Amino acid sequence: MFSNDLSIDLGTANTLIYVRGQGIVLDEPSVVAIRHDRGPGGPKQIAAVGMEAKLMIGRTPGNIVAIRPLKDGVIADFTVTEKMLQHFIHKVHENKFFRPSPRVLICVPCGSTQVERRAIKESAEGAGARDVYLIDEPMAAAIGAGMPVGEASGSMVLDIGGGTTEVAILSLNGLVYSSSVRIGGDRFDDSIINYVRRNYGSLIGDATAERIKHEIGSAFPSNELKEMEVKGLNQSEGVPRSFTLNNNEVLEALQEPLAGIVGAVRAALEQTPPDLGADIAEKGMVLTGGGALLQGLDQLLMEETGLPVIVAEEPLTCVARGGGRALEMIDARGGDIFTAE
Amino acid sequence: MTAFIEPDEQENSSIVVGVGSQLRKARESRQLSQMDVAEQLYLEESTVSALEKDDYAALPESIFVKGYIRNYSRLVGLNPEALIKLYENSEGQHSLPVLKSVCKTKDKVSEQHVLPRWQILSLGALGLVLLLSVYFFNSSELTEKTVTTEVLEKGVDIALSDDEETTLLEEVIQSSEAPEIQQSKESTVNHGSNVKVEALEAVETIEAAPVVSHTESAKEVTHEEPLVKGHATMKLNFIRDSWVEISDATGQRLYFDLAKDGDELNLSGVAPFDVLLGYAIGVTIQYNGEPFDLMPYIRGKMARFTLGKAGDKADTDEL
Repeated sequence: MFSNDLSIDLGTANTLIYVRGQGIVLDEPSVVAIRHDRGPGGPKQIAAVGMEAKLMIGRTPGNIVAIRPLKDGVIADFTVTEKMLQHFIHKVHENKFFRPSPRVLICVPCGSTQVERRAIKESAEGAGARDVYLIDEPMAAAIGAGMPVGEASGSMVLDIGGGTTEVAILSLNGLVYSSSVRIGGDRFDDSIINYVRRNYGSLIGDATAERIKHEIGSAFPSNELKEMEVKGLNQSEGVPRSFTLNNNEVLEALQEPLAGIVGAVRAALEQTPPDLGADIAEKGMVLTGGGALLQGLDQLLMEETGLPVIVAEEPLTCVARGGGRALEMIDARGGDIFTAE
Repeated sequence: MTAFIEPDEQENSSIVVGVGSQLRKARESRQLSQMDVAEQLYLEESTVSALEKDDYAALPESIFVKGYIRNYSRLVGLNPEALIKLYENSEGQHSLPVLKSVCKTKDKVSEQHVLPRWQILSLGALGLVLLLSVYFFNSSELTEKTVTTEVLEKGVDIALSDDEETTLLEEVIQSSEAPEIQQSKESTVNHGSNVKVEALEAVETIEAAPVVSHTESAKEVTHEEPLVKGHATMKLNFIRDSWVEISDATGQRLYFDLAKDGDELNLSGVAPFDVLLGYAIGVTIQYNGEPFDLMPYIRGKMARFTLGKAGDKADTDEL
């Protein structure tokens, strides 16, 4: 075979590619570094894509910009997204002699508009895909987590990605309710940056904020105290200074985006038909996506909703894996079952 | 017997303690009731007791069970990952739920994806090779066929069955003068050495019914004398300058030049001959010693025809 079918989780923060039989073959940040030759306005060139480009964020010289072509789960820069996808698809087919033209299934946020879906589809086609299927992210996440989506029983999934949080209630291979709020890992980072600026008078970058979130971020108060030393630019002195942050401060910083997520979950439960609600109350809801790794988020949601909350195994790759399984399904049954136009 | 088995079982259970019993022990050591655990994990009490009894049939899919075990073990201070591993080992087959379609679509594996592309390509190449070989086989066979009389007869039949070609023939006949045809026909029939007659005769049968006798006579003629086999001769007399191209059945060029006024060409080769005359009005042809009527083939000043073969070829070749 010349090229394998791919399931792509084109996320705001990370792009994951799953190949049937091989598992997750690519997991790279959705970042592209663009170099402007001969000053701004001159010819542009891709300097780096993925991990290499992410390391450049906030550390680039004047002629290089590291950008994230996706914002809030949807394409913000069409051409750059296309280039990035092309790069990733080629990377997956590195040793192939022929130009790859795989069938591609892409997961899109359920809140995305027709225009946004079309943009994603076309950029994948531009990147060399033969056929492009789209699937709603919560559906893929639920399949990837191993939930019984095909049964006549309600399943609730909460997928917290980099740009969006998707909450959906599924039954019989379909979405009964779905909503998408544009709160995700990025908003957590922003909140941490704002908190640090307000309380310490220091500026920190995105990369530092993300590191803080990973190391000491939490969504639920705990007895354990975790501290971390952070270096930032002190605004009043104008020089870099280091200071110490602890997990309770980060918890405080994250209150606003967390409230948004809890609100979305509550709204979903209110809108759920009672029978499906009963199923969910019995089994619980499942958390997927990178946000599920935030310490204590499941406890917070249990406390807030009174439902059992479960973190899926390998929450980061749920969507891509679920997309891969959906692709198999499309193979067997034709493309009309999971595709969302 | 039972006395032997019982200690064994006890030993086993002491080495590999079930997930449920480990959870229960940890819970009891912390002096919690099942009710307390259920309240803290927002689970139903029945779920907690099913977990402790390792009664997985009463529990939902494995993803939920793993989640419950993880939450429960965190609550009672056990290592969740170890317990989950134990659960996976004890249950064995925790395959993901089978994806199934609710819709009643028939199972279709889309055809275009059944074969990988390299197979399609190789199939295409194979097909091409086959086509080429068939083509070469046919063309070599054709040259053989032209020599044998039976095949020639067959060729006539085929030509006749083809409507388009017969209409062409009709046109030719109508355009040329009728008496001449009669003449040529009679003359050739008398000698019966030319296959061309057959075609003309056959056309007559389509045109008018009473010519049946003619065709019969023609057939008799063909029976009496075998048709030109192998060599044939032709003689061309020129009263004007004319460009001449003549090649025989083997594809050999017999003549390819400008013939001058007053020239006489004597050619021999394997029939049929492909003939092209640039100025046909100024040429008379004798084929195997018989005069050949050029008139039906003259278009403008040129004539292009096949000599010594059934009429079909000559007509199709005509411009």
